[in-house]
Amino acid sequence: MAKLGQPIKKLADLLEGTQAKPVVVPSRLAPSVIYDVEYRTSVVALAFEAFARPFGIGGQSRISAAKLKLLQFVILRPWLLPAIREWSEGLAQGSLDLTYPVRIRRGFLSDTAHEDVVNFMTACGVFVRHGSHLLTGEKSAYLGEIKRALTEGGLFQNERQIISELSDVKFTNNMLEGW
Amino acid sequence: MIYLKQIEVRGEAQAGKFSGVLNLTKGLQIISARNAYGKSLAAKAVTWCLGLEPIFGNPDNDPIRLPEAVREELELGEHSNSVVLSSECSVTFEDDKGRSVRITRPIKGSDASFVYIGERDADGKERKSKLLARKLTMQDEHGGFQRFFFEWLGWPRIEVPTFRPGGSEIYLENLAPLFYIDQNEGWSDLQSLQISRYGQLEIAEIAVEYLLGAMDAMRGRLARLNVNRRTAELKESAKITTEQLTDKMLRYGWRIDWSSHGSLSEIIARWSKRTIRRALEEDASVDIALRQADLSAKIDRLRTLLTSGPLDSNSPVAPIAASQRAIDLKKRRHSLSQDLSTSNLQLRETSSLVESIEHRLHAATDLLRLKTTGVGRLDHLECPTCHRDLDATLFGLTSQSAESVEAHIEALKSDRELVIRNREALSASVTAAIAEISEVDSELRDAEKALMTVTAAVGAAREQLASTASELNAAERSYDRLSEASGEIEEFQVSIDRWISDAKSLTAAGEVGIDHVGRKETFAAALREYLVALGHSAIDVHTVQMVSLDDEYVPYMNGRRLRALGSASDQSRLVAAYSLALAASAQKIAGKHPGFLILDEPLQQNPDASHRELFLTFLMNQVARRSDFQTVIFTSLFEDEIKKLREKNTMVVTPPGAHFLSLEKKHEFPSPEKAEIKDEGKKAV
Repeated sequence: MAKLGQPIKKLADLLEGTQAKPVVVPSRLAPSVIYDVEYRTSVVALAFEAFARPFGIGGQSRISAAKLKLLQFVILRPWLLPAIREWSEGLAQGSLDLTYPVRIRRGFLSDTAHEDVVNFMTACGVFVRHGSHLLTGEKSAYLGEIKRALTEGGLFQNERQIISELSDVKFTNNMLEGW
Repeated sequence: MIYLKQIEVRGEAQAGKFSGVLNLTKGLQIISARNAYGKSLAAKAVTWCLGLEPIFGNPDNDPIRLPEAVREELELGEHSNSVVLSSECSVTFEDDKGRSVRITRPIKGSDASFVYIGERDADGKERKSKLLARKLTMQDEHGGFQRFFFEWLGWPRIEVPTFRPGGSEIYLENLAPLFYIDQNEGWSDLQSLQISRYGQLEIAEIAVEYLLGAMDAMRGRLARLNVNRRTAELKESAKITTEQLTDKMLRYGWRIDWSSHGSLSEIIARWSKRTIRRALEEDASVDIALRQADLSAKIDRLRTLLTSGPLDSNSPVAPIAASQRAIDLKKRRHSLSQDLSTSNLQLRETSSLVESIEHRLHAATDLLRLKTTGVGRLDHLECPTCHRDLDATLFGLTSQSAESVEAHIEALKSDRELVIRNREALSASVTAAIAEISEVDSELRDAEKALMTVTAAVGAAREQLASTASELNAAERSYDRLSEASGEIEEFQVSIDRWISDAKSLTAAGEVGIDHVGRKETFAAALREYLVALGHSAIDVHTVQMVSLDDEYVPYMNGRRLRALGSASDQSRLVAAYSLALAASAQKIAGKHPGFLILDEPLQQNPDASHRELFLTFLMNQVARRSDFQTVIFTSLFEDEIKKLREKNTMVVTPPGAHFLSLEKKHEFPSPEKAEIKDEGKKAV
């Protein structure tokens, strides 16, 4: 908190000279948990465990990197679920694919935090990049451990609920291309 | 005070009639017999006769808790597996004045929902009755067993508030867990057999206070509980009234600030400060009386104009005015529809914002748990090549501290509150807009009808008359609507005034009576004495003074619950000490304890030799033997133990025979009453 409060403190010092009475509310300085690495890794782990498919004969699993990005984006913002469902169904009807993803696109393109999390997990050996896909790496056991611990601890039930609802949504190539 | 004089079980099996009798005396006595002798049957017969099956979680009148020997089949001498045809049990109590009561209840072969009572007063006069064991046992003045038993004991009936609507009262099954410690379930905790499914509030504390005779304390507690319950009811009623009132006012298009937030006294102060009419004047600028007066004057003027007013045969104003009014109303309706559409959109957006905040709040709360407990945390991730710990900051990622997450949760909670208030305001706007549109619609319909009538009229004079008549009609309808609103406001005001009166009359709970402090201290002192005597491992003569009872009569020592201290085997010592201390202190301070205590198999609670030794030492101790109340302990002792106890003058009863139940030698078993009468006759001779 002290680190976060530094620029505000400087601003407060400056304002003090102008006889203004600055009031610092620490709770307003705290960043959203959406930027926390542990939260992001938990969500990525839950999404990967739910949607990755077995690949090859080495017991590995894989998922399209774009699909994982879209999945975690919706899991973190469950109010987008109806929009993504409409988008998926709209595409099946072969029309209006330009209008449906508008709400999804907002913020999705600038979501670089997910790429950072995947890079981090790749560097740790949890994932291995394989073209446009992510494969389980030598430390992939972490994913299962996280899922088990979160489930047993009753944590992130909302996120797990969204994952279960997302399992009914069909992610087409159209939805995953061009990001 | 009473004591348990006799327990008797009898019946008929295929092998013949069987019975078992256990005669008891005042004071401490140990009933020692081998396992499977039938001690538990004797102990449980007491609970069955007293109709206490609910404490075991059994349905009313279901003897399932009693051993199979009295329900299914039993071994009688050389007859093994002899099917039971019928059975019943009896217990006899006697009080200090020489009165006795014998309670008999069928187990098999007859209707178990009845108990048969044989009373004998101090003069030897007898009376027999048949009462309902469970159904309306307390409420039925003439047929309820507990009603009779409480009266016979001189125990008062006490009403107890419950979680559910409609109160309850204290029953025998609420008190029994303090003087009947069951072999299987009674030793795990203090009052472990206390009934919770009746929904009685603070029943464990009330039961202790009842037996201690702390009636003032109990009444104070009950008064406080009643006040709490009534407060909750009044707050709920205030909430409903507020919702109905604001909704009704919004339907008239009037928004008033009428809330049910805060404590009861805050609501009383707020609601007493101004009436609904005043709130309407101040918040919505609606003075109903003034509006009614204006409308009334308008109606009079229009009537006069219609009946005797002058007519201008050349004036073209009437159709123009009627048309303009319809146009104005259409414009207004359009504008209101646009406003409603905007409000609805904002309401939807705000609702999804609330949903989003709720989600983020859940996520943040779970993340805080993850950070504080470490559940599901991805720790010690290292580079697979160089095996050094990888720092997430190298990847532009941050791991927030628990304090930061906590601060974020606070911010989210504050946001949620604000957005929820915003949503409520928007919802109110939508309701008000719908009401206003409906009102404008109605006016528009009138205006269109008036326009049609005026345009259909021939000549300026008829046009003026038609216009005036339409205007009069509209004014009268507005007046009626206002009168209807006024009547509804009056009804709400009456209901609010009644609520204020009810809330004001709710007095604070009575203070804890002075008698309570002394009685509680007597109980605590006795508990200390018994804990030391029973050898509780966390307590000795030096530390025992630190043992105290909290407001819920839970024993504490040094700020920790006593059940959390000592070894596992101390749990049964605590239960025994608590029950014995309650009986001893109740006797000392003339409480309502029945005067007998049944401890079923205290030695079986721990196979540890030292536990056995400690308990036997206690039984030889003066503290155990000097008590005037009756303590019946069912257990199995070794020969040398019995000898040692008897040497110390501790009464040990070793019932004869291989089993408690045996075949009767005579065909007709004399009832205990008859036997006693015969004995008395012999004595007289």
